[in-house]
Amino acid sequence: MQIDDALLSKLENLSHLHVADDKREEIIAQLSEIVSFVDNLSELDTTGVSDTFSMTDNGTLTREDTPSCNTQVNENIISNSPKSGDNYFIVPKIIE
Amino acid sequence: MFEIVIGLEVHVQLNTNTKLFCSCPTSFNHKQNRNTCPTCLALPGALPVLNKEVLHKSIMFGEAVGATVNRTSYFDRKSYFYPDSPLAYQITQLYTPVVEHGVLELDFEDGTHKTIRINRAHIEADAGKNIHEGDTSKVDLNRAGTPLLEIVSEPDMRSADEAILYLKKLHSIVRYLGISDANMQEGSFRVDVNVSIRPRGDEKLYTRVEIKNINSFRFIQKAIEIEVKRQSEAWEDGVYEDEIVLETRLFDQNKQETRSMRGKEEAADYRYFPEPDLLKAIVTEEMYEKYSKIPELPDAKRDRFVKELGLTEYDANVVTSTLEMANFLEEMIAEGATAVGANKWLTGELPARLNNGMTLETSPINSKLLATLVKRIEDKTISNKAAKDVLDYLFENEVSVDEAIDKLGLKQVSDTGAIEKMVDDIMVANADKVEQYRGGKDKLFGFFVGQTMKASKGSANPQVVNEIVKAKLG
Amino acid sequence: MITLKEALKLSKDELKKFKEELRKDIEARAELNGYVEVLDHGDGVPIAIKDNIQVNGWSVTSGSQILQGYIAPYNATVIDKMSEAGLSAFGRTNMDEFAMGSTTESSFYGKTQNPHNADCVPGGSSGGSAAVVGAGLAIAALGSDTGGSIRQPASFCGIVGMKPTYGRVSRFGLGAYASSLDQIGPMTQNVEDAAILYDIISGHDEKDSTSVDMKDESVTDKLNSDRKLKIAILPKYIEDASNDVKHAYGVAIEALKKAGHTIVEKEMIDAKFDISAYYITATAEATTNLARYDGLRYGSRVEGKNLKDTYFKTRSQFGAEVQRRILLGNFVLSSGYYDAYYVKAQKVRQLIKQNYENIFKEVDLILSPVAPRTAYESGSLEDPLEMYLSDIYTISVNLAGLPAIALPIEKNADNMPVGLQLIAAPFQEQTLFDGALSLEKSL
Repeated sequence: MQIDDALLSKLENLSHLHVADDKREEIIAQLSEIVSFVDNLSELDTTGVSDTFSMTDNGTLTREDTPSCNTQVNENIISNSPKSGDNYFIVPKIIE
Repeated sequence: MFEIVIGLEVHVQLNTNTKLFCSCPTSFNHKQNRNTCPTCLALPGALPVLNKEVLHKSIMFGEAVGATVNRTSYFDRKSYFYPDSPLAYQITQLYTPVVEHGVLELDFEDGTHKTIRINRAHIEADAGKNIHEGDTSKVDLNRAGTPLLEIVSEPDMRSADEAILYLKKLHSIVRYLGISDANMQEGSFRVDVNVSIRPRGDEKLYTRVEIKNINSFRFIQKAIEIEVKRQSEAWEDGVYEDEIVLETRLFDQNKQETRSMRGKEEAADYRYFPEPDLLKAIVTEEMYEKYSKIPELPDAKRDRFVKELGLTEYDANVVTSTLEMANFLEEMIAEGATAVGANKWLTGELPARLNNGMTLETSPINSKLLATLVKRIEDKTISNKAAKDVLDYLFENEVSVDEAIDKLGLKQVSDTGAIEKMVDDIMVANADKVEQYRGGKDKLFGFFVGQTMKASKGSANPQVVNEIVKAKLG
Repeated sequence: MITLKEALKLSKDELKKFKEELRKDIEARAELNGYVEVLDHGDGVPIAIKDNIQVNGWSVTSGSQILQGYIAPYNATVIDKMSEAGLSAFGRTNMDEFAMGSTTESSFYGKTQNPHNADCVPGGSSGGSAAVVGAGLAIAALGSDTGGSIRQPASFCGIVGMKPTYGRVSRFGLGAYASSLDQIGPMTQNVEDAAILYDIISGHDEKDSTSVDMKDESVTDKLNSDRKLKIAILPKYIEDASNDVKHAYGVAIEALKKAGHTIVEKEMIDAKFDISAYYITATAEATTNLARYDGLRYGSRVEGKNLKDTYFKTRSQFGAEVQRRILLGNFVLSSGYYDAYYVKAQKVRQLIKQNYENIFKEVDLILSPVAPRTAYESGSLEDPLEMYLSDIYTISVNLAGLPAIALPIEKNADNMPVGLQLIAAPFQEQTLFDGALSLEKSL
């Protein structure tokens, strides 16, 4: 299947990144080629096959509701963060 | 002409000690970002591990609404970018929730009922908080990862009143179960309303509009009314297709209108897919046995109060509308007050005096105190009227009921001798009126009662006064 | 270079001296660019760590610009386990950005050389780890394998690289690429060292929900190269490999026969389906795993004119291959395509798993190539699809969650290493190591 410029723009939005303008055509061609390749899965008959893969039949781990917090971790992250103040992460204004 | 169709989504913040997928405390921390760890900060390499208490509380809810508890449920990633969502996806349950297909009964004042179907209740993680300051926003992730139970109704409600009844009942159930603080102002009980209209008789569902995050029942009622008006007018003006679209709106309480949240961009594509960092959530028979035990629910308590305490259904409904009141009542009865007396003071006189945000829990009047007050009325130590004064006094002064009665000098005089003497004195001082009464002026009866009460400074037992005046006047 | 087994017997003083010498050797061969940074993290036996495994206090950046400035504030579980066993993290090694690649040419830190030929790639994405062990600049290393990223570079650099059964080794602290495929594994000079390191890092971890809760049994103390095993070979599969690889395959088969193992012929599903199922699954998981890298809490932020612009500018710091996979991942998950691509891929994954199950009903191990050829020349594998197709022999192993080990078989005419891999059934690490040890001895 072919990826076109409109679809690439949509994907950029979903990915929150911009492909450099001079690379757009190349990316479109590459993605198209890859998607065309992976289309080969339609050759396989998968009727009745389960779509939930797991290594065992076990349920997910659960833990006790007991609090514990190593504040050293969050202290370090805040102190190394790109922009913080008064222990908040500071980001450009969020427009509602 | 139009029928209103309402569906409600309520996010209930569960009151576990730790977050949904990490052991960070959920208790309040005055320092922002202190209750965080690699998992809820979404650091590289961090992973989620399910809090079993969340399963427990979700199953309790399922039991309470007669729902199916899925013994196997799955988690999904819901992707979107927002600063308060550190993973840039929310872990939720789209495809197979833990609880499905429950019901909630609405009880109308006229005694009729209506069943509202609950489609599902699923587990998901809460986001952090943003505070706006000038041209920046400050992000606090203490709340990020807190467990939520999202309860989704079918669009079975047909009026704002039904919606409010549903919400109040749901709120009450959640509080009775003890699974959440369910505080609308604090954000632990968040309501999103879905409203649409259709011509009466029409069966299909038209475009629904979501109104998000209104934090009081009163505003919800208002918002629904305003939105229904907007949609009806659009229909009548022939611009329904253009103006009413599938979207999210906010309620502006100042402008009394609903406002569109999104621009005319496409609906978000959340790209849900199964969460690969978690396995399926399994509820074993053993777990189900343990986790499905629930306390007495509002309806059951109400029915028991009617049967065992002799309250009317109306009164029982009122006093069981919150667990706090119901417990308060039972404590008062344990202290020796009668059910009817306790109910009257608990649901009438006491609430009338709760001002300035004071609640049953924060008021200085505890169940023992109020019970004692009621007992003093019932054993005729004070009159009903005097009791109101005593209650006012108790709000301001930290004393016992008996100390208050003494202080105010409101001990009811029931001593017939003393009262007889007072009546005699008044009859002597007003011989002319005695003549008139005996001559047929019945209205003067009240005069003698009133004078006696005045003479006793209000402390005479009015019932006894009545009997004595009647006996003496003839 | 001293083996891990021997190094574990050294005293703290001897280790200290050893590390001093090692630092000098690393300096002397700086152009290899295997280590991004040489750092200490304790006084135990030094083990090189791939740049996507958290070590408390280290810059751990997954070879990416977007994580510059991030300092890991916690240890991955494997690092703690190593400490308990007398091993210490020593230096972080180069890798393809976010583990996406097969050549270690996409790193923020530049490319790593193949220790046997500076003009060739070491393989990827654990190219740095493979290169330093292959160059005698590390006793052993940890790498990660999502689609062959331990085994392929091990093969290109002439060392042993092992991927455990999915769930055997904790992923807590491993910067995630594809959650249902990633595993950390040992990269060592020989099979016994790999078994030793595997024993140390493996085991149930309550911080990783996908970590398997089963009785942890060590393999090293039970290693038995005398076990006679039934081993499958894949004649049709090997058709498309280079002559070097075919030759090595023949050599390995003879060695196994000589050691007394039984060889049977088996077939696998066409590998083109493996590639598709892998790239759909991996990119879908990766696109969401990498969505957290937005520069808001840690790492490198590029301020834009508003919030959205900041997101976009920051995330445009990802390299080309990472961007491609993020875009592709969002494609296969997006509405309208989800069923045809993502859901379909999961079903095909089930078929691949069943294919292996059927084979393992009759055999103990499978002998398979690792890569279609020996190490590529630097810069020659630029077409993405061509790069993806070079993974044909390794990815089905990740899709089925199987344990596998790559070991060097011989050198080709240009003195470049040729490796092959043995694959075992889920949780059969003992059999895997027994067979590998036997092959190693028999060569």
